[in-house]
Amino acid sequence: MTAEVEVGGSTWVDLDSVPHGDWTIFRAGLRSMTDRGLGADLDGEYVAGFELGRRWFDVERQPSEEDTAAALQQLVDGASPGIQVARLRGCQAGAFAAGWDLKLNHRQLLSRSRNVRVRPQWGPRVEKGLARMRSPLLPALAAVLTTPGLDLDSVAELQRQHITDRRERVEVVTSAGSQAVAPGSEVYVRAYLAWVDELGLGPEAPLWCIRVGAPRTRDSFRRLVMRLSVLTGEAFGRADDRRTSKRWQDRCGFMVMRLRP
Amino acid sequence: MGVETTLGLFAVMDREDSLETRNEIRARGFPRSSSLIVDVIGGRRSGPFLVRGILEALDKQAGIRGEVRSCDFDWSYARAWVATLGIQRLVVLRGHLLARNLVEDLVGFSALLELELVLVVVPQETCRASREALQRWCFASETMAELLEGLKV
Repeated sequence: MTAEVEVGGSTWVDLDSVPHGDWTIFRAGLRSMTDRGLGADLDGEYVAGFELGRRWFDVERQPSEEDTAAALQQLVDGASPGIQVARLRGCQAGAFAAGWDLKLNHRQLLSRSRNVRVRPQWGPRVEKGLARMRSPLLPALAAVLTTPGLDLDSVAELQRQHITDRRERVEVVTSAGSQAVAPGSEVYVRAYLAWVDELGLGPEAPLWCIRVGAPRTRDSFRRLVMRLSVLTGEAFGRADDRRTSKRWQDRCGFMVMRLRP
Repeated sequence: MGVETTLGLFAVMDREDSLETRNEIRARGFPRSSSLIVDVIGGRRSGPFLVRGILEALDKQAGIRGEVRSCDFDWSYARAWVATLGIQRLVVLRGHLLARNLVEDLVGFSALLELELVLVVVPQETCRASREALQRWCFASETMAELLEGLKV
């Protein structure tokens, strides 16, 4: 599958703007959208996804999981979450036309990067996806996760004392030294710190907790990170964690099955 | 009324309560200035709606799916954002719709964050309890012209 779809584009479409149905009714949903212009644009993305999906799956032997994952990631890379979903639904329809059943858990898929670990970047796309959140938790988490030198594990273990606010800079202190969060993201971290400090947590309290004595578990932290990926379209989750779940939805985000011999 | 305040609490008597004036005030608020303009929705006078009005004025409305929603959390979010975004003045339109306890909530909110609080009220529609609250907290009178001048971007 080649990247023939124009990646990125100037239009931002969030996840709530696209129909929620599966691929069988997705195009009908697009056509009944009240915003006809947006519906037509998304239909174009759907058709592009369909064409690519049909070509990609026009094979006799089952493609490998790695190749399919890379192709699906290439299809959605750089696009806003709504457009990603439109392309993926089109791809499912294209796969069906070629004789394959492509099951997708787009939330899981979008939370994973390609075979290499891609560091998410703080930018207008991430900010736009998170700027209207009531709670400063997710924007602050995104700001810290996009800080160079930090990975998912070290961010999960952060304590309140590890973040300092000095003049114009907000810094995350790690064993390797201090790193300033990305420019433009400071306000979100400061808001989160203000919120956490109001709870009266001590300096050694886990940073990502919702109330005293209730730190987030590893699973709930992972769900938060996945939610970040879905809201922003950036791959905040990591690709190489070894998942223990046997469910295809949790393991890799998709499953391919031959429909006819 | 008429008592000088040191608390940064002001009441603007707006006898007309016109949509044009409200829109003019709104147009001068956050993010164009450090004044946050909150409109009280008629008929929705309870605490949750007031704090949601504040969050709405800050353009913070989206939630996380499955998130516990509570008035206390919303107040804490509002405090965190207001303290961080450099808001210096809270202007509440249609303040006459606020019940006394909500006036006191706003006084506490603005005192905690060291904000100037301006209530725009229609005198003839303010209930007795709210009038008493304004007197008790020594809200100073300000004219609409002074308010608009102070909101100049």
